[in-house]
Amino acid sequence: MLHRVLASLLCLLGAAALALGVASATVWRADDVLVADAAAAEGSTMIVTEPGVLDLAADEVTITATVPRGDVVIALGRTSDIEAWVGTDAHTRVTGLAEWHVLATDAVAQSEPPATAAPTTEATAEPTAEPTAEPTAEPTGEATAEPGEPGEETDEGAQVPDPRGADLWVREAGGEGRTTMEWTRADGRWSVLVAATEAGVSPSISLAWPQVVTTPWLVPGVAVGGLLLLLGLAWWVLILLAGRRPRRRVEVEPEPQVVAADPMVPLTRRQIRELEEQRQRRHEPVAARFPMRVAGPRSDARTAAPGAGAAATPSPPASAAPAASAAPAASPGGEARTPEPPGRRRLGRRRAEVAAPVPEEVPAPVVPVGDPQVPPAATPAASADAWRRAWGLGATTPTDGSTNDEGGAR
Amino acid sequence: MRRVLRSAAIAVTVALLAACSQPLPTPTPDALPATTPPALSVQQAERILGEVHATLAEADAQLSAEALAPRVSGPATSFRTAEYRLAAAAGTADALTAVPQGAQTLVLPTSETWPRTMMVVTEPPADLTAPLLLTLVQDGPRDPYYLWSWVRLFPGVETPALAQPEVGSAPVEADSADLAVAPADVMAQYVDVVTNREQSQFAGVFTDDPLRAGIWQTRDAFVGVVGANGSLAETYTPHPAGVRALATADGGAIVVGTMVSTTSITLVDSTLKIGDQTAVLLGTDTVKSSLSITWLSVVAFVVPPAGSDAQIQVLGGEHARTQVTGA
Repeated sequence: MLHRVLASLLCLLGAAALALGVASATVWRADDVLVADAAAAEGSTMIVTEPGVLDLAADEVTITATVPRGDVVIALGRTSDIEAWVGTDAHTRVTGLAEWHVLATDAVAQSEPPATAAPTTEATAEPTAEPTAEPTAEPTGEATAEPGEPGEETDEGAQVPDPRGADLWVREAGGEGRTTMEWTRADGRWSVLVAATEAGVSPSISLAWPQVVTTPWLVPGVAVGGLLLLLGLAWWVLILLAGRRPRRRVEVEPEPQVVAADPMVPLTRRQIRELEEQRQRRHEPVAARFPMRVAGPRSDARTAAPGAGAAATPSPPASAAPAASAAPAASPGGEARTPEPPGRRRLGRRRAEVAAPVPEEVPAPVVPVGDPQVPPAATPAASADAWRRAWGLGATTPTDGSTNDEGGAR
Repeated sequence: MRRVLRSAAIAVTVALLAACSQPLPTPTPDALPATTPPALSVQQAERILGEVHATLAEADAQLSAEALAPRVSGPATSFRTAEYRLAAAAGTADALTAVPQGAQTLVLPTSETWPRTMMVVTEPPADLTAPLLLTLVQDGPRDPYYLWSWVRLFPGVETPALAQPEVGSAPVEADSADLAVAPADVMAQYVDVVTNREQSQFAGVFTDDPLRAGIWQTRDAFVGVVGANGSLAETYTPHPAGVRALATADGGAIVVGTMVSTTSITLVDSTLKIGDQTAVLLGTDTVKSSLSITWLSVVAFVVPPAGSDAQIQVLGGEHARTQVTGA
């Protein structure tokens, strides 16, 4: 029982590994292009990629920048130049991948020390909270102080850092709403700056890397899974075989019964031989052997049936050869037996003619099925009963032709 | 046997599950280079030169000094402004110094900081005069490179060996000790030579050059004209705009400095008839009491490295009146 459970488990594991291996190369196959996005933190109009981000997942990258309104610029330059250009202004740094398809970002607030910068720093840090909270919280008390802030915000908006046309950029792309740039890895530290040119607009960046998609688990999955499955199946077969072994001898019997059930089906030579063997094993008396004359009429019928133009005697040399060669092949079971049927035939019919030279060639044509099927000559145990059972209806002529064909084919 | 199979099965399952959780790639930037790469690529430099050329062309067409603002600054603006006045008076563009766009040699800085300086030896101008050595300066990261000055290379000079633009030339501080003479001192010593001529203690420091010879010649001519009818004083001072320097291949440097000369003439009971450009800039050709001419000079030197006995080579110069007052 334990064996069966384990064998089943093995099959199951094998199938699972196989399925997982295949799934890894189909359903779960990685995309051909890895795309990851990020948006600038609210309040910053610039996104900067850190060195190494552009060639994070492939040597080639397509950078796409979008803004809800206004123009957007992508500037490519050395990281040191881009950082120098951005300086102390608020910006969003892309530091890598947070997860597949999402870029990790880091919001950097404006770090300008002057007093005028203070309100804008707040605005960038809490862009949504500040404006809404303050007017409602202190609508009366701060009424005079407040106006400064919105005013300054709009002022700042007027002078949004615009990287267009700067000499630092190695390359630059710009457009309304959306723009793209392709870049191929180069030595050194490179970054891109994505900037919206309108105040209060936060750009988004999308990096797309073409991927060489590998399916590293397909082959191991299929190999290991297949192996496990085979092992499991083989184990099962062994278990089943082990269970059946004791009954094996008993089961050999049914064969003749099957034949008896449908007497019209002619037996093959092998079946007949096996039957004979069985009988031999049972030590049937020699006396029970079939009478020779049974073969006689049949071989007559045989020679008559195929031989339209070819008489029984002349045919042998030509058409006999193939049949003769077939005959030995047909009875591979016993070497001792093959020579015997001819011998019998010689006795019966051709002794004079056949003489010595080609004894085996000649007999074959005439011998069709009937004779080889009668090897019992060597095994005297073969019984007449067996023949009657096998050919139960006696030698009905119509069946002869078919048996002949079959014998020839064998 | 069973145990082996069981552990194998577990191992396979674990491996398959592990396959589903591939690690995220992380950025692996190149290390900071040991040697600073040039701040500009050749393409960038050519793009900048193109824009400078376009700005110059536009301003030249209008003879408008204001139109120079986007790409021209410093002594170059002063020179050009004076040239526009001359050109406007003459009605031709002859007075304008042709600044070719094509570059024979790019000297690109390996600066990480600002200001950054880039130098260019242009192709010979169309009139087959000497090529120019342009100096362009970027004051800060968000500033463009401005054409800061140009000098005409003197006939027969040999430009020093310079690093390939792909490698870049190191910027040299004004007080650098790596040179035979620190850049800031080069100009002071040259001014001393111009002022004191052969009596200067630095007279032997510099190779002979047509610029200071020309300055002396002009001065002597004025002295001759004024004669006993008045007095003439000429002073020379280094310009506050300072010096720009980039290293040469042998460890020396090209140093570009600026000098202001002021010629003051005081007349006693006489009139002085002046000609050509001075008259144009003054607006009249006759002065009765005084005349003051301000000259601006830009001089380029090749300074040998520290420890070298070689003279400082005067590579080229530009010298022009920028202001004339008188009565």
